[in-house]
Amino acid sequence: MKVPLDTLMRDWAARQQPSEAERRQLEARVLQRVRQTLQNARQGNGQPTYRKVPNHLRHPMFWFAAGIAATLMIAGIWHFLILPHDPLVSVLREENGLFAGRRRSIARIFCETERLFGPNLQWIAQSGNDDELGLAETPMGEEPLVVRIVIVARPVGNGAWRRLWETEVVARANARLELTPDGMLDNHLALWLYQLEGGAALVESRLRLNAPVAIEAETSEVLKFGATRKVTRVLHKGFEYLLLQTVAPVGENQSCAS
Amino acid sequence: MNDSERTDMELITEYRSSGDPRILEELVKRHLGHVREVVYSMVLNAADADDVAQEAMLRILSGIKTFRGNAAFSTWRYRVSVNTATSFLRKRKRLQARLSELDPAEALPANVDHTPPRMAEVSELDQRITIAMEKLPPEQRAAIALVTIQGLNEKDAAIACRCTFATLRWRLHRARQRLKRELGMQESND
Repeated sequence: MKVPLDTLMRDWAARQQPSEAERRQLEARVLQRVRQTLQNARQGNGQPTYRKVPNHLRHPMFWFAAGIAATLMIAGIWHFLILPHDPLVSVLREENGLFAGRRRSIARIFCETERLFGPNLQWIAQSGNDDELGLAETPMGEEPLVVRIVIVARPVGNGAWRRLWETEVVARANARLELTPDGMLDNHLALWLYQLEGGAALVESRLRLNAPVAIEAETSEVLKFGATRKVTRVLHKGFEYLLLQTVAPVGENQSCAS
Repeated sequence: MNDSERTDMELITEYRSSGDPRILEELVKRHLGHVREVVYSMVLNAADADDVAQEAMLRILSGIKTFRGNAAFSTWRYRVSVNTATSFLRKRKRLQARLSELDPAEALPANVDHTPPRMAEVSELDQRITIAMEKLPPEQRAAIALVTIQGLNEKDAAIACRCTFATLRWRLHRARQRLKRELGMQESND
């Protein structure tokens, strides 16, 4: 195909445009909704009310102060009463703690393996009792990143999250890897990492598991180093499943060489 | 000066002071086409694109009273369109995930256009491009829709996508790479 991609895409988009009649129909639909919304607003505000408003309620500073007080109260209730008991917040915190420990240990394994295979070592992965590693044909200079991927589950909207499956991978930034977690051929994980400026990485993943749970997810997320994030949620037979991811370099201000 | 000769910002300022509904109609006529084009490139389905474009246009109009003009109105319009389409895609993905978990046969095909084709024959190339676009995550589709299709500069596209310039460039690069691979094109510097 010799047409440049951009031209091809622009031509394709032009061909997907609605016909003149369809465009007018859509425009009429939107305008009708606009008129309806305006009419509803007018009806809602049409009858003026004459209740006397106390003087202090008319002062903008009163509303400003009331707004700040309400915000502080909500933030306080949220921070001290609700947040510590939110099961998702708890599991994310736990994951952050676990990641800090696991990261050091898997990073050490990567560095030891690198001493054996040199810069051709592209990635290593650990899930369950299974370890895998990948070698590149040519040496790769990029610094490695550690990624932890976890699936947690619970009955829908109820109770604490339970870890069902987890894997940890160390891979060089920009490496694309495909592995079979737990050594099961039915399980498949494709991962690609790209380090961004400002302490973050773009993590693209495609996960297909058959055991211990049948789940399939494709994600593309920018993740801040060290902060666990929920990247997808799946509901199945009264259970909800979350896919959590955490990423960071192998060590703060250090690489395998140090 | 009639409405069609005035800039978006002039119209918005006028609407804020007069509340004249004809100004909203002019904004719909001016922007709905662009909104629908961006949205289509993300949802890849004519019926859904119409619904999402309608939703996005209403959000744009309901926000013009608070639009502060920090970015161009067109950039803001794209931002709302991308957000609305992304939310829609997430909901659709969740629904599909649920359906396929319950019974794979019940799952809707990923992004099949259920509306009758506008032309007697939908070209094979169009189908291939649509299938290739379906394989991109929403963020990469948005990058292609804004930069490649709408011709927006990368800086404004980054603002519209609420990401950094580097992230936008990277998404665009990945999207182009994947589209080329899916379409069997040689790597070249477009």
